[in-house]
Amino acid sequence: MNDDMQPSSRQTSILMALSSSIVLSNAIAATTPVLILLLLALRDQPEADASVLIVPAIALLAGVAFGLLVYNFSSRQLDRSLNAYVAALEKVADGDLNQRLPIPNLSSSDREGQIIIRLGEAVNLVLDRILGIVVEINRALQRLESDTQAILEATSRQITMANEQDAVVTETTATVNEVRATVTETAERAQSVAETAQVSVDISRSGTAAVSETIEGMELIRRKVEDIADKILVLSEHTQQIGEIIAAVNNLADQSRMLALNASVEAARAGEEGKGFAVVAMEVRNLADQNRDATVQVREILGEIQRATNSAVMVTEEGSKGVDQGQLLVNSAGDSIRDLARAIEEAAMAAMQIAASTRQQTIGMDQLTQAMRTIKHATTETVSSTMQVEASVQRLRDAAHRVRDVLAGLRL
Amino acid sequence: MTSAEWADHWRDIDLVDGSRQADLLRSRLRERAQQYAAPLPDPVPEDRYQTVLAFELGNEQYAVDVMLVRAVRTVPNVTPVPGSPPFYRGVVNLRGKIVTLFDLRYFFDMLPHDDQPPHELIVVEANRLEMALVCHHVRGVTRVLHSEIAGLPDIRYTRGVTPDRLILLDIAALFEDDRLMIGERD
Repeated sequence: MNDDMQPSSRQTSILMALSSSIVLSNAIAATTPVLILLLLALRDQPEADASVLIVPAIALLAGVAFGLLVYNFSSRQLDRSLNAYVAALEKVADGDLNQRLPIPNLSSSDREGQIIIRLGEAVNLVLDRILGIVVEINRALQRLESDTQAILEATSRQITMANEQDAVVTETTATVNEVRATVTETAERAQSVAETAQVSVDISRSGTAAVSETIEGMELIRRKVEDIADKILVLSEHTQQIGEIIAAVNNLADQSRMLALNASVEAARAGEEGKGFAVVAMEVRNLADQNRDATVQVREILGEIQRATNSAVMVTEEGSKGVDQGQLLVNSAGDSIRDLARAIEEAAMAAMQIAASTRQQTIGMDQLTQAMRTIKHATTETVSSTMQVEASVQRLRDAAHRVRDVLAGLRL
Repeated sequence: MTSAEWADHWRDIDLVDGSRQADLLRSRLRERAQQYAAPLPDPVPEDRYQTVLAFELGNEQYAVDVMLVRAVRTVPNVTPVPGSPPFYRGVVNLRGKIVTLFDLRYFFDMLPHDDQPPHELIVVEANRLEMALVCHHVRGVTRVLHSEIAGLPDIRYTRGVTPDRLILLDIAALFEDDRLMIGERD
């Protein structure tokens, strides 16, 4: 082919022009799908470099220039070379981007041959660049597809989790409401306990006062009992003295009786003269007997009085002991009531603190409920926006699929 | 001591209260004055009765002829006499005179069961012998009709018994008993 190109002639220039126009039209046909691809890519990636356009533009200009140049070039070798170019470019047009123009081995003196060589080299360069770009696009497309897949999976997971979160938040809100109800009840109970404890405190205070009064009363009783004991002792001494007096009176009565007996004996012995005296003696004796009877009676009564005073002394002693014991008991009861009052007061304080803290808990629960509501709202929004993202990503994936379908027609 | 019992005592004490006692005394005196003012219903002739002094010793009632009685006393401090028979209870000092105490119960072998010591005595004199008979209670001088005295032939030193079981002692005969003499004889 190189040898055939040597004897070039003007006559073949028309054929050359024709073939070059065919070449040109083929070049345009070959670059057009590349341009379409590039435009598609640019639509999805608007920020892509605009310089990509320059390459096909240059190719187009080169093709036109090449056509004008080979118009005057005519030789069989040139024809053959151009035919080879056309064949290669046709294959490229069928999608085989690996095809390259066979560069003919023409002499460097031949101007037209040189042009054809340079044309072939330039087209090959363009093809190399296009191949590089398409390979890059293909690689980016694969990444894009895997990324969109990952994003879709992630958004799907996110939606699922957001739904789960929503359920959990709903559940938590219900629980918080239950807890709040319980806390409210606790607060009410604590309040009522505090009130009851306050009443108890009042009662125990009045109980303490009553115990004090009882202690005073006991003291009074003790003094009274001691007075009674003293008086009874005095009474006992008096009865003792009365007994002594009675004994003396009794003795006197006995002596009177003896005197009367002697007198009556003397009167009897005196006979008739002693009769009047006997009457007197009898009378004295009667008086003495009566005296004795009376003293016996008085002695009996005195004995009973003494027994009574003795038992009264014992009873008052027991009473005194009982009062002492009672005082001890009342004192210990007073201590117990005071302790009780202190304990109840503490319980009342604690109940009031419980009521206050449960009120604060209620406020906290309200805040918690509010926060839960906010979280629920945010979750809902998250779900809706995630779904929007998902739709966008799906659209993106559809675009990528379309690009891939286009690229599938190319052999790389 | 309940209040009811106290009330009883106050009532008892009220009996010896001045006003009541005075009323009682006045009524008794009036009664007695009427008794004395009444004429003796049937004066008994003097030779138909005997005047005696009645006394109690243990469960028995005795009487001695009032003419033999020298004095009636309560028993003062007794000085026991060692070696003397049991019916001699000892000696006492009556206004400077030493008198022997004689207990009829031991002499008649009527030994006392529940011994309440006799605290009264009757000084009697017979056959120039003066002794004190101990007794529990001297009842006083009384008259006993001869016609009412029933003889007690089986019992020595008695002159009989009255319907109200008063045993008349024959002191003169009793004092003749040899057993009474101890130590000396005249």
